[in-house]
Amino acid sequence: MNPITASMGWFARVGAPLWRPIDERLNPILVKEVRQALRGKYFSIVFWLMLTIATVIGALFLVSEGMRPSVDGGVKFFLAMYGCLSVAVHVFVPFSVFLSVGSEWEENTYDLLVLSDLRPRHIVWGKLLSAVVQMLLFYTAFGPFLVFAFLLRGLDLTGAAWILGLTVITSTGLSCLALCLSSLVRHRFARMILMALQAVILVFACGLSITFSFALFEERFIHIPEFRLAAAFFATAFLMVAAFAFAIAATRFTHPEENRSSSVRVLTSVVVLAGVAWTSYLYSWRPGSEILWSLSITLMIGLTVISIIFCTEPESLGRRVRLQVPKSPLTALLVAPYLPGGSRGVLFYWLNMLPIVAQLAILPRLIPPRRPMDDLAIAFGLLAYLAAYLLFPTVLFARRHDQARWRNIARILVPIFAAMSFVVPTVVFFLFGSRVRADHIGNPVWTIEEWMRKDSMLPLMSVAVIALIACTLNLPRIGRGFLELGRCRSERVKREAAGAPGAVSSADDGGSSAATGA
Amino acid sequence: MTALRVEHLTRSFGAFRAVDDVSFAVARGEICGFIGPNGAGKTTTMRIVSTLDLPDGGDVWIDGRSVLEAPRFARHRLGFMPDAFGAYTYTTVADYLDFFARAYRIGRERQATIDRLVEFTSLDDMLDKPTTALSKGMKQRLCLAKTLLSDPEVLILDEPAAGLDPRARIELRELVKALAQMNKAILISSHILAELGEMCDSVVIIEEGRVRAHGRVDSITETMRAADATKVFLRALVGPEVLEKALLEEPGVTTVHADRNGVVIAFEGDDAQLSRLVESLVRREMRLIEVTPEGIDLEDVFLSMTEGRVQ
Repeated sequence: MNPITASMGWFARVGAPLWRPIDERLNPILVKEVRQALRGKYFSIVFWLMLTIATVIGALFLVSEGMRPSVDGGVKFFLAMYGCLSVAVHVFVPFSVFLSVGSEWEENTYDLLVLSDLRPRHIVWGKLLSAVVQMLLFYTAFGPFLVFAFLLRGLDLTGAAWILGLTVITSTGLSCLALCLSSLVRHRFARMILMALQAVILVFACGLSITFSFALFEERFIHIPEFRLAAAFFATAFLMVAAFAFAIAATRFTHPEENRSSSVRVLTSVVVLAGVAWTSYLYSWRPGSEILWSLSITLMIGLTVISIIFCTEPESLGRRVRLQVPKSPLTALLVAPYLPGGSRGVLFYWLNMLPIVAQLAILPRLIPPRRPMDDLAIAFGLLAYLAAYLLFPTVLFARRHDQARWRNIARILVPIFAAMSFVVPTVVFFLFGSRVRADHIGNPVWTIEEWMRKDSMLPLMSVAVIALIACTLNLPRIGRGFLELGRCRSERVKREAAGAPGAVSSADDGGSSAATGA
Repeated sequence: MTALRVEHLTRSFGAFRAVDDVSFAVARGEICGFIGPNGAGKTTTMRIVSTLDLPDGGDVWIDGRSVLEAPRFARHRLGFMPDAFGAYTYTTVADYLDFFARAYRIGRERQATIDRLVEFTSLDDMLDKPTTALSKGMKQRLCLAKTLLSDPEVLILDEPAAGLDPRARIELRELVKALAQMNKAILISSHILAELGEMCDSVVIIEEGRVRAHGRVDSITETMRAADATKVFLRALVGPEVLEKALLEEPGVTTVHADRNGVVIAFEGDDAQLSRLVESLVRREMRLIEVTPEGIDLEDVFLSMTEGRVQ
């Protein structure tokens, strides 16, 4: 028994009366994962290795500091210790989460988890919490070193607190990303590739965090309000990405017949609204700046990318989800964009584009200095491009989206279509002309510049017409989607009237309240 | 009362139809053997029943509710023991059971439930051992204990006896019988037909994804007995060769072959006609010392119903 396990066992025995009521409520995955981690070699080796390295570095530092004392010895010591801590919590902890999810597939325990009372989000949440516990154990172990750094001279406590606080967020976010990546595929070879990718991301993030902490103390920009605002913004953005990763991991643990889409759709809407709120706040803080443009375009492109998944989902609702369609026609209509299905994905796309475009249209006219209407036309131009890229390829095989092969083809076609619309005319110009030309409507930059220079409205109008055609082509499947909703609704009403056990009780709710989109 | 009902289940993997219109039912307290050659569709059917896979057509009903429409309801009522044991590394038997008891939301009764199941499956001495270090038999016991944690009404056991030594197989058989006496519906697949014959009340024979026979073991064997010739083993002091020649001249004897110092004949006729055959052989001074009509067991049923085709 290693010393960590022994000490944990002692605490468990002594605190048993207090601990028991809490123990009953703990996430089972958390309990299992922490037990496994404490008994396993991975955590023990990493834990003691990092502490040993930190101790050696600390000792060497003190020896050199004793010979040549400096005014900022505390900062140097803190940064050295933070480097060790960062490696542990940014690399090893998320990597252990990746391995933990992978072991569920490889050790044939995934099926056993699915059959238990644990819902997908409990499984993913438990694994994330175990990563947080491991991270806190590292924080506790490094605590004395960090306190010692404070006792030396020159360490700004606020800066140290900021770094340590942001590290909690980034480590948790990276664990979410590890959960997501590890849950994507089960094939061993694909997993190896993802593992390598994960390792690269973690090492890069670790390097970035160490560089950031050095810069923070050297430049002393911790007390600049802009820095705090930027840090809060990036922390929000990072947490949003982490939430997406979490939601995707949870859907990978969900039964295929259950609703895998609604929770991610709701989260997307939350992210869009948060993005709009941040953009508005930042724009009001720096009116007339490019913040509005850059963030809105990022949101529009991000929404289009995630909508590729939604717009290519199988058109018909699963048998489980059919029972969750609201009985009220109005409610069914309102939640339609949040129910699974490609046609409802198109509705979802437009619904979520609305606040972004509205913000672009309204903000420059509300907050001085007022900008011309050109902005709005450009926004619509960009929207037309994105809509065409998304809606043409996803409607092509809409009737075959129930087959994974066709779904994947449609998903791959979207970026290919976007690239081809730019490349093909350029190549044609090159083959039949004398030089490479990018002045065609497949090139959004040229089209928008053309509009801004007031040379011609024609390219932008042409794109708008193409987007309109793409939307029109999607109308029949949207219609079929609504008809299906109507059928499901009346089916449910009939079943309940006949007293059939079709109504889904809360006890049997499969992990997501699809009907309410919650 | 029917606890598990499978109706017109179909499942394809590309062009390959793994399960083709499979239907059967299992009542409470009934042990139903699920027999078929490798690749017959047993595991696929069991995974669909256990909500781990989806059918292309048909449905499965547990206590009157569709597992497709109410998978969580089904999971509350069924216990699935897969053929591959899922062991966690760095986890003892006690921790393994504790984890799954927590996962099944067993609250204050958790330790009592674990203790009861540990005693039932005789895992008492193994509690502190890592799950990965257990023998195959012990792993199967642990898996059974885990399956029983939620006190399921329907048990799906996929090849529970695979790889077990004879003693462990006998013990497992006794455990399964004891569970049936607790009024649980049990669907069990195994390649060891003799063992299934001893414990099963009914069987489903499946080949190439299709059900070849389904019903109570005794009624299937009776049907076969009525349809086919009865096998009879005879031994005589005159020796097998002389007896073989004499038997070929007797009415009702369709085939004769030497076996175990005697002969086995296929005889078409009832017990009275068999009695007349014996009288005739005695008159011809064959000096008979043994006449044993051989019963039809599950192996015979399986061999006659299936053609050994593997998909």
